Amino acid sequence: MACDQQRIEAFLHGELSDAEEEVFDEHLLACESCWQAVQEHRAGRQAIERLRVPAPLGLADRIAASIDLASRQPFEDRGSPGHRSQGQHRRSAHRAISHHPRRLITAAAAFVMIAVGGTLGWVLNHHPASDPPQIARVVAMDTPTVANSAALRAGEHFNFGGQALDVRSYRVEGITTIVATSTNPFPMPVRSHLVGGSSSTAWMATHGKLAMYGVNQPTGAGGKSMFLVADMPVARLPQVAAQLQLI
Amino acid sequence: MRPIGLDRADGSAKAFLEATLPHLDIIYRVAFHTAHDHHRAEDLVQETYLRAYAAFAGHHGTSTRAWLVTICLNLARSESRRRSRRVVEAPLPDDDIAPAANPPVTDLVIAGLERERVTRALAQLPEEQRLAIVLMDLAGQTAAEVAGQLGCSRNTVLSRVHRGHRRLAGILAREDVDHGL
Ligand SMILES: [Zn+2]
Repeated sequence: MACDQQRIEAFLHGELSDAEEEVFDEHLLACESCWQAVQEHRAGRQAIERLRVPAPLGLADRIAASIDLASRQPFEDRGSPGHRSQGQHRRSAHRAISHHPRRLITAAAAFVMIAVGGTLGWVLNHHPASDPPQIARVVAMDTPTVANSAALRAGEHFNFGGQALDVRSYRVEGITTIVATSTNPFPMPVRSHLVGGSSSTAWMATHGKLAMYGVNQPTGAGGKSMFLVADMPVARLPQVAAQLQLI
Repeated sequence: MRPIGLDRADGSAKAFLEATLPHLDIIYRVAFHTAHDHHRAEDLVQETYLRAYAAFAGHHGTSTRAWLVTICLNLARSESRRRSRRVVEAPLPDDDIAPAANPPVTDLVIAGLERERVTRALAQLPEEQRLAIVLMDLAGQTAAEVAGQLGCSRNTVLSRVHRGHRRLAGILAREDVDHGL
């Protein structure tokens, strides 16, 4: 029997008949090159097995969040902000509260103490028009009643107010969270509060029901500045940022 | 922890996520080994799901997994074409942090290094061999499904997988010799 590439492949994929397989088995005992081909194939396949890894934690939530955003907007309206029925963007009052990663609870508790002991008395409903445009535009994405809250495309790049930013949507414990990142620090919204505690500059603000939390890194330091917007208590956001590995 | 918040999505979104999220691991692998970067891979997966959601009403009968893989592949192709026209961005630091270390840290590190080594070797294969391997071995599809996606015969797929496996083994073995392992 002569060496035959196709026969090796058929053998490796279990596609030879019993009779053919017996003949090939005999051949393998005697033929160095076919034996080597089979061994190499198996070694390569075994190496590949290592790459059968699960998707990163949090990706399923992020997908669900973006589908959620997309589902709140009729397909015809995509990209062209328009009219939507009232019920479509009514947010569910029911929220799943689940999985608090244990390692984050202390950080969150420490933060709550700072917030309670410090300043909680900022005015909640400031005028949106006075926010810097890059902040206002991202906030609008999480506000279904505002016209341009289009479903985000994946990792969408924007240039708002002269600042290049990437915007992504995640779902955190059932709540849609919009994250903006940039290589430049974000201007702080009006009536925002600085929160201390690290070398970077962190701030918080609220906008109606929505809360914002941002951490700025100095320009050129290599780190990314970010802020996130979500319909949840502002004190939760540092924990969420840590959960999403943003800080 | 998969289906968090499904209750909030409306009917069609819920049905869509229930049908498609079980294939997330596979789509992520296909995305990762075509985009070669965690961040781009995640974006590619999200884009795949958004496209699929928009087309979900017209998806009947065929395997949902193969359907998603096809969407992902088409997006990866146009994405790589778009990127090749642009200036290449500096790679972002890989900030994927391993979750809480329940298994011994050394095991995780060694497994991670091994995976990285195989990933690099896989990336060195000719495109057609790499794709055939990703779509068959990592996406768990049949040779016939992959043949449909790549527009070639089933035998061609099997032959590319075979040559890819051998070459991969060769690359890894050569590395071992180089590093005196
Ligand atoms: Zn032979």
